[in-house]
Formats: sequence, structure tokens, C-alpha cells
Amino acid sequence: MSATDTRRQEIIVLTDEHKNRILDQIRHRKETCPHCGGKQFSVGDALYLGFLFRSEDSDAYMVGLTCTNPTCLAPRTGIRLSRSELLNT
Amino acid sequence: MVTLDYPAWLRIEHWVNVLFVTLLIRSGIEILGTHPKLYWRDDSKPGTEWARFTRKTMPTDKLYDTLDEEESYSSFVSLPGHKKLGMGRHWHFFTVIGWMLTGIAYYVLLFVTGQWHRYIPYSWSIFPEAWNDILTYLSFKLPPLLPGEPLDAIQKLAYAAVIFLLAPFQILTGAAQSPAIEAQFPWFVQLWGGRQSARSLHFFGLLAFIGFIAVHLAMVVLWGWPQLNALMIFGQVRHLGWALAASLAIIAAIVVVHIAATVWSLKSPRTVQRVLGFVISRARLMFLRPMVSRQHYPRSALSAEHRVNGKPPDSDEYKVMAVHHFVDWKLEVGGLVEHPMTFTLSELRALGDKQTQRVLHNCIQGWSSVGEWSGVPFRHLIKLVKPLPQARYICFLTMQDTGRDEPSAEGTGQFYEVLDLSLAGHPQCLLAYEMNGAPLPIKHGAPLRLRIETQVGFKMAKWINRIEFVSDYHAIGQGMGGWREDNVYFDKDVEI
Repeated sequence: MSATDTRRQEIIVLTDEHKNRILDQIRHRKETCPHCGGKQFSVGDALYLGFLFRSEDSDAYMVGLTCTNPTCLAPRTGIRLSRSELLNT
Repeated sequence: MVTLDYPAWLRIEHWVNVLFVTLLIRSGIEILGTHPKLYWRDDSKPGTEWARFTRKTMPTDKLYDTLDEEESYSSFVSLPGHKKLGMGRHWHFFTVIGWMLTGIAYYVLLFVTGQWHRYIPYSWSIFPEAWNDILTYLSFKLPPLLPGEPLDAIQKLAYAAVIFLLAPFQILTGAAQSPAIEAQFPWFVQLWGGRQSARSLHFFGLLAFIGFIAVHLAMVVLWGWPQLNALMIFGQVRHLGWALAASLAIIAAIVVVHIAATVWSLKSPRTVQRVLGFVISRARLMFLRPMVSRQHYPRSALSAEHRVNGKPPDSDEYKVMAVHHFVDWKLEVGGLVEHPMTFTLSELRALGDKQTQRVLHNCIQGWSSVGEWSGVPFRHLIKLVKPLPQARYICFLTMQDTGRDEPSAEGTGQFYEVLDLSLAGHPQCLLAYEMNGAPLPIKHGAPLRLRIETQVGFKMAKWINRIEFVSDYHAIGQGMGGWREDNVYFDKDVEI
């Protein structure tokens, strides 16, 4: 059998440029970590929610964020963005 | 030469058969309505159906599952009607057990008493005679009966075809839709052209039975309803008035049984599930439970788009886990075990002994797809946690909240399924974290789902986050052995 493709098919890998723009938007929105209140994040990948989840708008995406506070006990969180917000960031 | 008359056993079997065949037809239509599309290919690819009995169109911009495609038929045509697959299955399987026992008794008695002469032709000359009979009927006349026999040539051939070909054909094409039989004998399914081909052929068998019944009734009317019913009730042409009355009374009684079965199923489905399920489960466990899956379909057989049932957990917690590749997901394994354990996805992957199987997936609704699944053999997990002697069942708990995630299904609450511990040691019982060589997709149960190939699809819980070994399942949920068993009255053991 062929080797396993470890990449999750639903995941969208973001470029560094996209990630920097999302960080700007997080600062603009004054997003904080829901667990420790931290304001610093690193940006991960994106997931298109609109197709898979029944409550989501058709243009909804989630971007994975990781709280950079080293003492945070649950650092992985996410931010919901629309398609235009994701593409225009 | 035996006299080809109408002995009591033949008359009784005839009327019992009327009841069973009509119950089978209505409950079969109920089962058909749950996935009202017929295919020739095992992938059941949307749009490739050769027949559809629904006007529903499915969205292209939103995940739908096959529960969304289900149709609700009237109780006039289906038993019990109104989208009650669990009830339809109970009636279909309960009746088929009775029908097969009746049929076996009928075959034995036919050959022991010599009554088989009424159906089995002696000479090829019966075919031109049958053709002449058809022409005679088309000219609105009655053809002559065969010398010393109760039937004309075309009737003799038609009865022989129904009794010795159509009835076994329906049983065999029905059996070819059992995941346990498919898993143990993949060649048997291929004999019919595949799982969906068997389902389509089973549907043609249904049409053939309906056609036969219509022509049979027309013949009885043409030849004389009171006379033929006198033969089938009293065994002789006598008391024609009473024969007419008795025939109508018997038909009325059969209708009453249908109405009672329908009302009972709609008003008290739990009782039907328990009573009929008791009989069906015994038969299943005796004949189908010993079967073991050793399937390995070629890569070329994989379905390009494996169909889906169930919708992913619509919670922020799940979505955050998913966007982070399920790093924070944990599988807890506990209950009646010596070593309760918790695994992350990478720890499960690191267990080694990864097993891959390419298998036919059978949904209880009737569709199928072929997929390749990889993961941890369940027997490997059993060795690690060591179930205690009193553990008899495994309860798979999931992240799916059916009220929130699955509005097409009746009922609410956390989805769970219970599996007999004896099934967990099967060589293809698998905790799958990969599908078709890639991480298990969200719509197919990411990050972890069960594969147990001798059962229908709903037993293979998706989006699993806890596994509990238990001694009894009656205190879990409503106590029937799973969320679908609790809420839509499916059977707990589903080898067919």
C-alpha cells in the first residue's frame, strides 16, 4: 500500500503573509485567549466550516490560534472568519 | 399417480402465504423508502441511480447525509409507513422467518405427498401449450386444463416459476444484502453483480411478486371466484355461497392483521422492537453471528466518493480541535478493565501494528460504498487494557449530540453504540484513524471511528472520544444497546 498522506484534506494551509494579516486583525478586534486572557497568538491553519457544519454560514472559516502565554493551560483556540475576511486579511 | 387435489395442508399454506407475502411487500417498501434510489454499482454514487422514488434534491453547498434523503411513505403501501425503518425491518425479518419455514414445509409436503406433479412439467411440449394458452386468454377465452391436472399449461409454468425460482431468488438476493454474509462470502455478493445489483434484483423480485398476485387474482376472477375459493377453502367445489363468504372473511382477517401490525408499530414501537426483535435476534445470532469478515477489495474497487451518514459534531470545541489537527483530542478507555488508559491521536498511531482493510460498507438504509480503513486492531487495545471477566459489552461514546447535529433523525442526546465484546476480537474490528490513505475525514468520523465489517453502518460509531467496557447495557440511554436502538428502534445485532 502507499504511504499515508498525513495532511488532513479539510485543512487549508495559510501563507506567512495571510498569517501576519490575521494577526493584525486579531489585534484590531482585541481578541483574547478564552482561557488565560492572553493577547498574543501564533496563527495556524484554516478550516472551511460552511460545508461541514450545519449551523455555520456558507462562507464561514475557522483559523487556528495558539496562545503564546507559556503558562496557559489550554493554549489552542480559534477565530471564526468569513471568506472575505480570510481572503482580504 | 397421485390425485392432484387440494389437501388441507396446501390450503392452509396458501392462505398463510398470502399473509406473509403481503407483509413482506409492505415492509419491503418501508425499507426501500429509507433510501429510495436503486443502483447497479456498489459505490451508490449520487446521480448514478437507475431508479428513484423520491423528488427530493440534495444541496451541493452543504454536507448532507443519507438520512436527509429518506422518504416518508403512506401506511397504505408500506408497513408501518411514515419513515419507520426500524419497524419495517422488524416486520420484514420476522415475516421472512415465518415465510421460509412455511416454504420449507411446503416443499417437503409437495415432494412427500407427490403433489409436486401439479407444478413440475414433464415435457418440453408444455412451452408451446403455454404459448397457446396465452393466445387463448388474449382472445378472452379460457384454455383447457392439462389432462388430469388442476391447472392449464401457462398456470403450471407460472406457479413453478414463482415457487421454485422467484421465492428462492428473493431469499438469496435478500441474503446477499447482509453485511455478515458479504463479509464471509464476498464471492456470493459478486455472484449477483455486487451489493447494489443484489438490491436492484431484489426490487425486481418484488415487482414480479406484485405482478404475479395481480394476474393470479385476475385468473381467479376469470375462472370463477366462488369455485376456486371453494377448492382453496373446502378442498372441493361445493357450498359456493359459503366459499364466497369465507374467502371474503379470510381476506378481511388478513387486512385486519395488517391494520393491527401498522397500528401496533406506530403506537407502541418499543413493544414491537422487543417482541419481534427477540425472535429475529435468536435467528441472527444462530446463523449470522458466526460469520467473520476477511474482505480485501482491490484498490480499483474503492469508491471515489464514499457516502456519508451522520453529521459532524457542531460544537466550537470540536471545530477548534479539528483546525489544530486533533492535537487536544483524547480517547479515554475505561470501565471494567484492569488498566484504564487515555490516548492522544499520536499515541494511538504510535501503538504500531497498524492494520489496513478495503471493505464494503453497508448502510442500514441500503446504500453501500467501498473504502480503505486503517488504524488499531481492536484486539490490540483489548490486550492493553485487559477487560475484567465480567465485561461483556463495549460502549462507544461519541462527540455527536444528535439533537444539535442530526435533525433528520428522531431523538436527542449523545450518540453512542454498544457492541458485544465477542465481536471486538474479529480480525477486521478496527479503530480507524485513516481512510483511503489519509487522515480520517471529519465527515467520516475524525479523528476516530469504529469498523466492524459484519454489521451495518450505524454500529460503527464515529467521532469517538470514550470507550467503556460494561457488564450490561440496560442502564445506558434507554437501555436498548445504542442511540439508534433507543430512538429509532433498530436492532442491536445487525448482521443483516
